[in-house]
Amino acid sequence: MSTDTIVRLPDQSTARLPKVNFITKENGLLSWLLTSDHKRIATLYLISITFFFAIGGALAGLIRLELLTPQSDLMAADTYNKVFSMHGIIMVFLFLVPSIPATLGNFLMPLMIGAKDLALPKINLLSWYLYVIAGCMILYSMMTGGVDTGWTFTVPLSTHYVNTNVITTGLAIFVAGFSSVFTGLNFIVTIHKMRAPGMTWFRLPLFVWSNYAASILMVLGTPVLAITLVLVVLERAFGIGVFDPAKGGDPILFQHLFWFYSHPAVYIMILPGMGVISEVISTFSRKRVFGYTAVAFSSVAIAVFAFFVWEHHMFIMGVSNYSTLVFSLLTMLVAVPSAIKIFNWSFTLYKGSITFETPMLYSFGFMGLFTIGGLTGVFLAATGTDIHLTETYFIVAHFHFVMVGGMLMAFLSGIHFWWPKWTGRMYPEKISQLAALITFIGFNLTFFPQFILGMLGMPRRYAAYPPEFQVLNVFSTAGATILGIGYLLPILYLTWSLKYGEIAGDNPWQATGLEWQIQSPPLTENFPEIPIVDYEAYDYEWLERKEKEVTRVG
Amino acid sequence: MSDSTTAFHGAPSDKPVIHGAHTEHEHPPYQRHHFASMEQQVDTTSFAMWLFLVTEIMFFGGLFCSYLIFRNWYYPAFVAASHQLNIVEGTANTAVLIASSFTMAMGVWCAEMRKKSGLILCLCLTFVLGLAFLGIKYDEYHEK
Repeated sequence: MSTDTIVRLPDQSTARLPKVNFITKENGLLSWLLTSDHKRIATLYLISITFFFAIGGALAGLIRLELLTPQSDLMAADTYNKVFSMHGIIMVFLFLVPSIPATLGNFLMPLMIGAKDLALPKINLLSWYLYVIAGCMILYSMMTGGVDTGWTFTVPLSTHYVNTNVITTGLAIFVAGFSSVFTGLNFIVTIHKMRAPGMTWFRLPLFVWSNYAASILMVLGTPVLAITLVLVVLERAFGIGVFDPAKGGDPILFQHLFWFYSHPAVYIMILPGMGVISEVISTFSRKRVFGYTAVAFSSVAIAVFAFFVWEHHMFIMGVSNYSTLVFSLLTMLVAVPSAIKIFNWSFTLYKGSITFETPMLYSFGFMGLFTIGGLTGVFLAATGTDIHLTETYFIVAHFHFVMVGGMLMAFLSGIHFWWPKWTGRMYPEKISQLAALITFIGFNLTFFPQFILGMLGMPRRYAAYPPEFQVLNVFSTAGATILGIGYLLPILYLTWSLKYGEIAGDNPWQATGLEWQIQSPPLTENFPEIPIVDYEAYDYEWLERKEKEVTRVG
Repeated sequence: MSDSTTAFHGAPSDKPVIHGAHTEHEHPPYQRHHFASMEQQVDTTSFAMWLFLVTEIMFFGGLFCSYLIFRNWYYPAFVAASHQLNIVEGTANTAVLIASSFTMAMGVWCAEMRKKSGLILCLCLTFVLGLAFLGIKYDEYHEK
């Protein structure tokens, strides 16, 4: 910790944003809506994702407000069911799955590998339109009565018993699924075929590796979800009987098909976040990521294991004891590559020159919260404890630690980290450090009590609960309020910084990635000429040499 | 891993690899701006197509998986149902389907060979065969 900060900004009195960049290149709404530039599509995604995050967040606020008191008093029980279902559906399918890949991934993938664009720019735009169509369908279903099956669409509840918009919502998720299939497909093709000369697989930034792993999951898993939802819709509309025991169908088959996607989906959500953490930890420790190869392959390992653990969602649904045993073991194995990552990041910090800029604070938050979320996952993988804990608030706390504490922290870390590259301007440092702190405190206050509630036996998905659980629920709701402020702040100051932020210059963090060696915001074609890569990833000495050469020549 | 890098290195001197394409420009009009060479573009798009087919396998894999399970569970019912099939129409439809794949593939070949009239003919044939497929299906299901 030799210095307080590594930030090096150009002289503010003379610095200007580059006149020509991807934002100013063309003007007018149409130039954005018909663009095939990955950076503009990423911007469109960022705006739409923030919009749906705000809606999902507001619904979460309603849930916590209802649970402030033991009785179901703010809203009727069936309204509560709709609220938590819509919260889950919006957050999972419209925020978490596309969050990092479609925004940061879209923006950075070509920049990091030295390409002019993604391999299939028009497919990329198509994927955004599919996302918007899916979002509109979900908004429509929400305004015309909502859906109350939970985000899991459990049959026969969703096919036979509820009278809500299951069909519209199911089709919306079908469409959203293809949006993420196209994103994943685009990434895989881009990483295979578009790398700049010299950019070998083991020179790729770890962000690229983790998005590659997540893309494999998107491409292989999402179609299965799509066909499952088609079957649910057909069952509901025409009664084909695949999942209906009265017609000889099997509801458990739905669970198998649904979780075959939806468990890998969890890793679709977390893997890109891990990529962000690798970049941030390395940059703010001024060290190459410890065990680069291990971290890279642990992403792929997580992607592979992801397809062989789905049955752990069904331990109490009457599946065979022997398969339970196997899936329990396989589930625990996921802890190994996850731990490899956490340990390697810790070793990267060891003897590094650590500074505490906002992205780093969020990354520390990620490491702590993800570790708790991951370890409680092992409790749930063990069948004995799972029977007690499943369908309680312990599950809710567990996946919020991974998804919100992990993924959302990583998302905010990444947004702050690459904000100067994206917009050419810095975010305000002090208030954003405060926001990171508020988020961390608010998050723990919201979700830690829920572990205890779950241990005590409070079931999830009920509007009312016994009065003895109230104290912990009040803590949780109070925490949610703080958390809400923690998320509101970045939206406000990042918008503010678009006009008033300091000029960032090309490389404010002194980072080594290819994306930092070009102007910010980048040109539409990214690189004036295709770069030739002759250095390893995270080679800070290379960067120093390069800067010395530049100053000597200049 | 090496093919993309070589594609980049060889970019300026590479001739477009599509047969019959005019080769006097370094960047033929159908080469998209973000590719360094025509070879890279062809490689990339065909790789993308194969990958898309993988997603289709997963998509229908879920369906076939359910089908197999039920076929196994209710084998006699599936046997009984198979006697309800209309063999003539079913066979005709299979032939139509395969023929339409052939005309479409011929269309792609014509496009690569720059045979415009052949391309139009093939696309029209494919369209007609598609309609024929739907017509036969309609008749077949209408009966049931």
